[in-house]
Amino acid sequence: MGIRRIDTEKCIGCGTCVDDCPMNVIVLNEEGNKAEIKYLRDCQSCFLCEVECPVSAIFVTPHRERRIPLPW
Amino acid sequence: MKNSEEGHGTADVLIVGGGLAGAFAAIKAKAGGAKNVVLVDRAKVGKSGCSAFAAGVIAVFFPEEDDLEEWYKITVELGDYLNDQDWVLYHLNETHKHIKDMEKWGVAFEKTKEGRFERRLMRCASDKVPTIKQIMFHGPQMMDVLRKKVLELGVTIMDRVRITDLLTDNDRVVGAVGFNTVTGEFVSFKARATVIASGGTAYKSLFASHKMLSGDGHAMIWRAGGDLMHYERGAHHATCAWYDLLGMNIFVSFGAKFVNSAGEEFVGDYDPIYQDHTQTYMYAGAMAMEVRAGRGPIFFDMTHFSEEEVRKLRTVIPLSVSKMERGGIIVGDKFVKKMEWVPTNFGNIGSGGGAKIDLDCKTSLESLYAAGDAACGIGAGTYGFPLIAIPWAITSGARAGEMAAKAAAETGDVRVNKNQENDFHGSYMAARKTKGGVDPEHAILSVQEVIIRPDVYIISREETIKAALAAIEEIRRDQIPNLYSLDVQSYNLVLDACNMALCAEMWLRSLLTRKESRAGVMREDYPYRDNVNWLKWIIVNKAGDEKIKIRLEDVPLHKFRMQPTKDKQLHRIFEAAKRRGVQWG
Repeated sequence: MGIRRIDTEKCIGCGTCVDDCPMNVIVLNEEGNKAEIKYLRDCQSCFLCEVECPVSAIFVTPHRERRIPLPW
Repeated sequence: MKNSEEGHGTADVLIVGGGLAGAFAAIKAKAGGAKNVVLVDRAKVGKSGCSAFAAGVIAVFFPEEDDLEEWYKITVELGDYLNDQDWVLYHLNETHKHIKDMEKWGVAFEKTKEGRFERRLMRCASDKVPTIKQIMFHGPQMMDVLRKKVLELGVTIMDRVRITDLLTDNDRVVGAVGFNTVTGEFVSFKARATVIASGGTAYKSLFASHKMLSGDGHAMIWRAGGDLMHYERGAHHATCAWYDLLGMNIFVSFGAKFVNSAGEEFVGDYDPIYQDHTQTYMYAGAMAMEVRAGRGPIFFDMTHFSEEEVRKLRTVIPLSVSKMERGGIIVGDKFVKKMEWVPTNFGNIGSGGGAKIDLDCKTSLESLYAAGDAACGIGAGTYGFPLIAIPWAITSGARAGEMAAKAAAETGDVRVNKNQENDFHGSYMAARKTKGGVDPEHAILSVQEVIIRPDVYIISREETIKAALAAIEEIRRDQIPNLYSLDVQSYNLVLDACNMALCAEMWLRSLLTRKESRAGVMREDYPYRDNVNWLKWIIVNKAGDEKIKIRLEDVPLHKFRMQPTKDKQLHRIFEAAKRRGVQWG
């Protein structure tokens, strides 16, 4: 699952999450006033966006976004 | 960055990778007098690689409290005598000075009421051997401070620039090329000295927040003809089967327990001295043996932690605690259930192979330095030493920056070969235009399916290594040249797949070469640690025909103080498995 949603009511378009995401998952929309999830599968559930968001608009889950083989 | 007349970005010292090692390299390159220091990162300096997610603890030797001889002895013994012992001593003597600097810059550490560093027993320390101790920092705050410090000193930071290849003039590295990971723009740097601090490869495996570590630095050094060493060492770790979590070391230092499916604590049977604080490869081996005996799955139990301990964890490892709250593992200030725990192929993060370096962090190529996981690990040979990655990133990063600044000052203007630069540019543009072919996601999964197998990366034997090698060769032949990318984001995956497959082949070829069991190399066809024949370093580089070439060097023990006994001993994991009634061989 990784990043699950960005609350567009709360989002102020400050770009903190876009700037901090190590995997380029989040971008600003065309108008440049709201963050949106673009590359969901690259999310590594690191929680940086949720932690750094100044208005608590982001919700992340710890579930893996891609299938990764288990050893057994 | 200054733009020269030829249109290159130029730097006195170019540093690739903005984690702890790269940040320290930048700070020390500035302190060493380099004027134009450029630090680039494929993500964002301070929010990238392992360091932003490092799990809150650093093993530090303090001369006023600790016994240097004891720390030195344990480090060399745990390294099974493959260390560069000169590096071990240098490292132990330097780390604490840098920690004190970090504190002055504003990095927060847990302190006692008396104002001393709060210390706990590390992994590879127990009541029986209470030597190695850790200190605690506040998760991502550390790298936020380092980024600020780097900017304050006037270092030029370029975020979202992924370096792909080194520019060379004969044996000298004169810069690097890459691209902007958002705009796709091709970039080229001319540099008097270059430091690679872009980490190792974690194979996008089971472990949290390490998905950008795909061996870029190792791959570019290999392609430029440089030496890599210790590549046979797969770094072992373990993590939650359900979620990507960090922090096993700190959880263990707080008293977390491993239990098998019968609820029995078993790690102490495999390692009676360090018990649950044992090395990472011993956990991995013990788990694999328990599962082989039908006693899996394995669980990690923290349900006995006090509320105060959970609150402390929330301070030092906030991201993992958030995840466990979200996953319903922590409710309020209590752990309410055990988690299924599995070993993970951690590639060479923290204690694996990397660029062969000398005491100055210089690689086998002129003007090229390496630090952190991009280099071959502390003291070149410490398998599974507890939490060595963070202090090693600090000491090697600082040394690489200092020596690169010195080299830059001694080097006149360097010349970029336009033909080589144009070739890199041409290949990049061609690769970006690819239509049709193989999905890079498929290639990444194919590599993982080969290497995340317990009979390959934990307890291996010649047949399983050879089968894995054949599968990787097939991926490199049939899939890698035919990968397609839809946009610059998926081109990142193309490069990830390409570099991961190369690193996997270097690892398997090195593993096949080491015909013994030493620390993290556990081969059931050669179950003895063989000090008669195998006190050797395994070095990988590129033969002229693009093939992976292996050579051996004797460990230069004649230079070092601690000497091993020249005997053969059954590896601890096989001896313990016998005691536990697990079949092997």
